[in-house]
Amino acid sequence: MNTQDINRKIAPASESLSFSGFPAFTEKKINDRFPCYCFENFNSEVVRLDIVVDAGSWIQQKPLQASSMARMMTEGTKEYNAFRIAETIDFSGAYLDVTASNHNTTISIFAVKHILEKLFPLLRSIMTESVFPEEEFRVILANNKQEFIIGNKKVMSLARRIFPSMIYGENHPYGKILKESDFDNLATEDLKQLYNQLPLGSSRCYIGGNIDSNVISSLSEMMQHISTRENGIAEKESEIQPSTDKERVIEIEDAVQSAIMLGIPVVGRSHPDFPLLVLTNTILGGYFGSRLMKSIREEKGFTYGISSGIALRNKASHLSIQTEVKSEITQLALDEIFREISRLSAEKVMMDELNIARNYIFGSLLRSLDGPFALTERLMGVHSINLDPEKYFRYYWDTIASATPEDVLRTAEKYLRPDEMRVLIVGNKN
Amino acid sequence: MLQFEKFTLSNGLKVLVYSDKTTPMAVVNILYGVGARDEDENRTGFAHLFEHLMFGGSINIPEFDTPLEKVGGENNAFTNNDITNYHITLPAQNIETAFWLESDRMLSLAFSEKSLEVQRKVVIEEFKQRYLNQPYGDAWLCLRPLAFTTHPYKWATIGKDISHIENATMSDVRAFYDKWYNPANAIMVVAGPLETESVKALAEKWFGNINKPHTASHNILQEPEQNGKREMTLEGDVPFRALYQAYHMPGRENPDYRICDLISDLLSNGASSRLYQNLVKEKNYFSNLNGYITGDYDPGLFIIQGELTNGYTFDDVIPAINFEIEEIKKGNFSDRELEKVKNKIESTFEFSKTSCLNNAMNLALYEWMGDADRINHEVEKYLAITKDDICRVAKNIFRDENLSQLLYEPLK
Repeated sequence: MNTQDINRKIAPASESLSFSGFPAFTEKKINDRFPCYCFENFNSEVVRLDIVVDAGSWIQQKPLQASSMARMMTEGTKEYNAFRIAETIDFSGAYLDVTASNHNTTISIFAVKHILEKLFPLLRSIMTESVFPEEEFRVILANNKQEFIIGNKKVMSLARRIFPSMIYGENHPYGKILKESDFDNLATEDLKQLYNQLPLGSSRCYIGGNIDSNVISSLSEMMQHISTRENGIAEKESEIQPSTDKERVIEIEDAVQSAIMLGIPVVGRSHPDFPLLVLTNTILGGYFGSRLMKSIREEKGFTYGISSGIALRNKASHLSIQTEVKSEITQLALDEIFREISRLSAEKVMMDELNIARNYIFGSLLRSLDGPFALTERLMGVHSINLDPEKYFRYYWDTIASATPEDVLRTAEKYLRPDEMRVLIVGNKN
Repeated sequence: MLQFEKFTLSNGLKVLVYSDKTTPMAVVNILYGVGARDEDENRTGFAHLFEHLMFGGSINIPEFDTPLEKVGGENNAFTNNDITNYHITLPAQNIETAFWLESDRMLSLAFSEKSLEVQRKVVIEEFKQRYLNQPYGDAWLCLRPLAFTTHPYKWATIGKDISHIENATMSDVRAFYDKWYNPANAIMVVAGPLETESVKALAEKWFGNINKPHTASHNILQEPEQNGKREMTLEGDVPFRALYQAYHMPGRENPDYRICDLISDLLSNGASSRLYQNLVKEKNYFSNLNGYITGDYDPGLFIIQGELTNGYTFDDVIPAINFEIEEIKKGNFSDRELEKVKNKIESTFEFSKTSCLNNAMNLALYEWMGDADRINHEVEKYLAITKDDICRVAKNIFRDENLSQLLYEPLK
């Protein structure tokens, strides 16, 4: 039975990957007002609901204002105190999270279908009548401050906190450096002020999983009670001002590894060059078979890991490379990283290498579109910058499918300019 | 219910098939029944170093990752004290590539000197990144040998000493591979939009003729009962005091394991839990505090771990933890609270089922522990736990003689 002749030296036949379009979803208008996007999937009993509001840290007047407001929304309302909120959610076996990103505040809840329906009164209370109690606020802020101080003892956490300021400038909302004193200068009044101006009337709803009409009607009932304010605090434009110093070293005595971060502003998803930039980044450091991983880890053993990625934000994006390397060879590793960056715009990539990276990206994209919860996230992502998912993903796929070695060379030349990159080292650069 | 089918090849390889027609992706997960507990005390860190070497090329295929990336797949692996687990996710139409790659590295590795040399360095950097270059990073390296005097859980998966990795030789590596990487010591789970018949054909084709007998058995020294409290103080460059308490608890085959799990949920699962409500929020003795179980196969540890709020000393906070533990022993919790943690167990299992990869990894783990179908009966066993069970087990576990306590003090 097991004597079939097989040639183990040759890979079995494989099929090339294709994109069959962004998976179908339905779009409803709730109460003739709120768009609601649904991905049905009846594999499990679980439902995920996200309500996205257009207000985030970009419009905050003080550091931590938006994230603390989001965190504190679930710490007490007129109807429920903090313990009752926590207990109700835990008793329901649900997960509730309110988070603030740069441009959004998002209320997310995961629950088994028949339980989710019962949680709408609580959700409504959180969205309409949070009270931001002083005592809870003091404790949570103090705990966050402690966590922040511990983070500053880790070379990579510290690097991640500082690096964006070198790309965008310290006055830019994306480049602000959080300080310990910021935790002392925040008051519950700041949170209330932001909360009272949330443009809830422009909320968008995303539901994935085991959706039935009861969930939709309960959602619709709840949304009748929230504010119809459509405009919150306007987002002011801010100019990007990269740091004047190109390389910064934060010396940590005795560090056995140094964190290295380097990068440069790049175009984001709305730009036609974006897919080629993703491809170029992937070849450089975007996957296990990338040049940086091969050179810095798999050939030299300088590090446990190195990666290059594109940090996407609505108003500006940057590419950054990050790694933690053995202290003694910090400079050597940095030189090697720059050598790999320059090589991409000096010589054309071989077709084989291009094809591997291309297929890796295709596989990643297909994985990222698998399942209702992943899909709601993808859709929220493209909606946040007003793109149509079908058009966006189709163009992304097709552009990468037809990319040539010349395209990669041209893209590297255009965007990966070593002389303009900012470098941050936290550790021990002997 | 996780519905699956199971068959065994003549060489002993167990194969489980979990069919999910709603996903275009397939998962191939292979668990090898070897972990850090199977290591020689003088050659620790091997199971994990070995996991790295499994990507360094096999007998017929010079690179593992490239051919997989070429067909749109990705993979990863982890090693713990009990098992080593490898998983591939790829578009289902290209699943044969995963069979080809996994079967070749089960057949034989390339054993390249270069790969060993580089992966030694990579693992040493991993050791530094996780354990040396982090505040509190070495706490677990010290807590394990404090809690275990005999059982190999006394060393971490990364190894007991960095020199063990530095000194690993090719002959050590070969011996380890020959001993453990055999079909009869592996469990493969294939999940995705597939039929059992086609999986069976592929398994026979690629794995059927790997004839490597498996004779090794786990020869593990069991931990004697602890009969006195152990304590250790570490000083280091950390900003706040931290507390680590470890109580011995039963292994996975013991029904009391689940009871310990539920106790840890009463103490610490969710924002309404006791440790969080009483000691983090109300008294604010800790900036964070968690109770959890290590989840080991052999008798493992029930851990209570947290960072103290600035200003408090260990003498201030330890009695408060003991008070919370006494409350559990006395049964001072409501029926609703017990129902709450059971509800959480139910939903956690339900949420986990939404991921095909999770399902594949869990089926492999449960099969390794004896029977994959047990996963379908876990929830009902948790639901049957009573208040008396909890009091009995809490009294049994939370005794001073059973405690190993590590205090982490900031350098003055």
